[in-house]
Amino acid sequence: MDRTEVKDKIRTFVLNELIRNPGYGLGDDEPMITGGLIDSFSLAYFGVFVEETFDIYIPDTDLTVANLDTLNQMVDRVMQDAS
Amino acid sequence: MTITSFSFAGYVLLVLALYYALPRRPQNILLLVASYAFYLTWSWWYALVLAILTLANFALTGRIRAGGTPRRAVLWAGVGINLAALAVFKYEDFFVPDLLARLDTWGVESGAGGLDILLPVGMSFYIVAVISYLVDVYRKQVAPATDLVDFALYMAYFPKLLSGPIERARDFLPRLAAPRVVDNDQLARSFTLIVLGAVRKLVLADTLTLMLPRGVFGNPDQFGAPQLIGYLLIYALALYNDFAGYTNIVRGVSGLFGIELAANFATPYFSRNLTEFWNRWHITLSHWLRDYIYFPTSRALLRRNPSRTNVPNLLLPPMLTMLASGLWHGPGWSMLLWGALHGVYLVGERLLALWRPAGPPQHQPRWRQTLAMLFVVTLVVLAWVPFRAPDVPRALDYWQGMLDFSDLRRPTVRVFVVILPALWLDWVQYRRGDELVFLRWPRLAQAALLALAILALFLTSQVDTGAPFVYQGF
Repeated sequence: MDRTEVKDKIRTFVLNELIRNPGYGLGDDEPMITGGLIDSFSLAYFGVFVEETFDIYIPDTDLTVANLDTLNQMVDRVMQDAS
Repeated sequence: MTITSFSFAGYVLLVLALYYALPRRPQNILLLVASYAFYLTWSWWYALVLAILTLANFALTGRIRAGGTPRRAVLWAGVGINLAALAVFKYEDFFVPDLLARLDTWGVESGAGGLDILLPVGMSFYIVAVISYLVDVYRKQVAPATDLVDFALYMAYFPKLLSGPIERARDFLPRLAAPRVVDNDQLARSFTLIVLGAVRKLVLADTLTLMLPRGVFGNPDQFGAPQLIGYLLIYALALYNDFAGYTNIVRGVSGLFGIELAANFATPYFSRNLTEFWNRWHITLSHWLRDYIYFPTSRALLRRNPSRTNVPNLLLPPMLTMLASGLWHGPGWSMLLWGALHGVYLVGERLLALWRPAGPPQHQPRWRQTLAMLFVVTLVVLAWVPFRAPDVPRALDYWQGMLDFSDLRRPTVRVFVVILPALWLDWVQYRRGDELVFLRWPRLAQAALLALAILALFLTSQVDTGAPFVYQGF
């Protein structure tokens, strides 16, 4: 899986479905949950998105702020499980 | 033996003296023996129940390790056994009288009275902890425990045994296996937490509790609206400082053994929305509910229908999660009402989020953040009515009484002598985002604050409230 492609897909999902603001200039290392852009419960949506888009299952207990607060962290997790 | 007693302090010092003389493995054995000895001071029956459940859960996951039994079967058996134990000890008084009453209306004589089974203190906490262990073993996120001593210590560790924090096995078992480091920094943190906890519990919570008239939640019709509002605010602060105080103390004590326990509170009354509140209040339970009820429910529903506006997706996860929280706190309809209220609050937040673009709350103007905090704390405090009231009708009476200003009697202004320091303490921690901010103060300021804390503890020790920790009842 190409990292750039993965990042683009996740970015689009986050902007359209979680933040619901497609025009927001989200930084790759901008904290989304601790920054208040999305709440931790939105990670359930992210979990299902990753299952359906990348065929990867992230356990519920790994859907945490510590693991998935930034776009880069989300991409890292997908790339890690894909490899 | 309560954790604010001198006997507990002496007990900890005795165990520490032996502990520091031992290498790590015997340290764990000592802690296990000390934990059971501590629990025996409450009841031999409690210790027996804990021991039986510990052996049962260890044996179950041992079947996975041995490879003989399917993981799913072990999971269901384990969850079933633990929930059954909790149901018998905790909820017998809830469903058995109802069941007997129904049998009577159908003309069936049950011939059974109440079972009068006493809930072992701490059971609600260690049961949810071990359920998280079973689920994590099933999901292969943690290996089945191979060391009975360490596993038994995970279940029984005395600083967290009575009222948490609820630790995950995958975090706690490695800490038990790791070398212990108790340096000057750790000692400073532990001592600060213990003093903070003692001040919260003995100075703030117990004093505020003394200011609450005995019958206010049971007979709200005897009080005026200003009194009901005032006493509710007092209760909100008393409850918070009671539980946060307990957590501070046990985390400080555990730090003396070189074993870290998770934080459970982060200035929750300064939350700007309800989701933030549940990431600041009883954090370990909130995260347990999120990981083992909210997320699995959400994902199952989202797989069926990925729409954010789908009604079941919006309603079911928050409502189920908060109803479970209510049920965990106690066997009563008023607790379920409390849980349902918070479920409605969270659903409301999600509905709002559908139509409003998101943005970081800390980027909002200060006045909006303050208004948001006041709004959230109002909702939370109002929900404490059914949490504390003996039943739903009296909770409704309390709310109704808060709107009836025909009686304008109010609480004494002396309560502000306690309320203001309680709010100041949280404000200082909130501003720095650090519960141990005092360690970064100049030495003179630290010394002055410590002297003040000791004076306050001395003064309040002259009045024996006998008030137990609220969360020991759950």
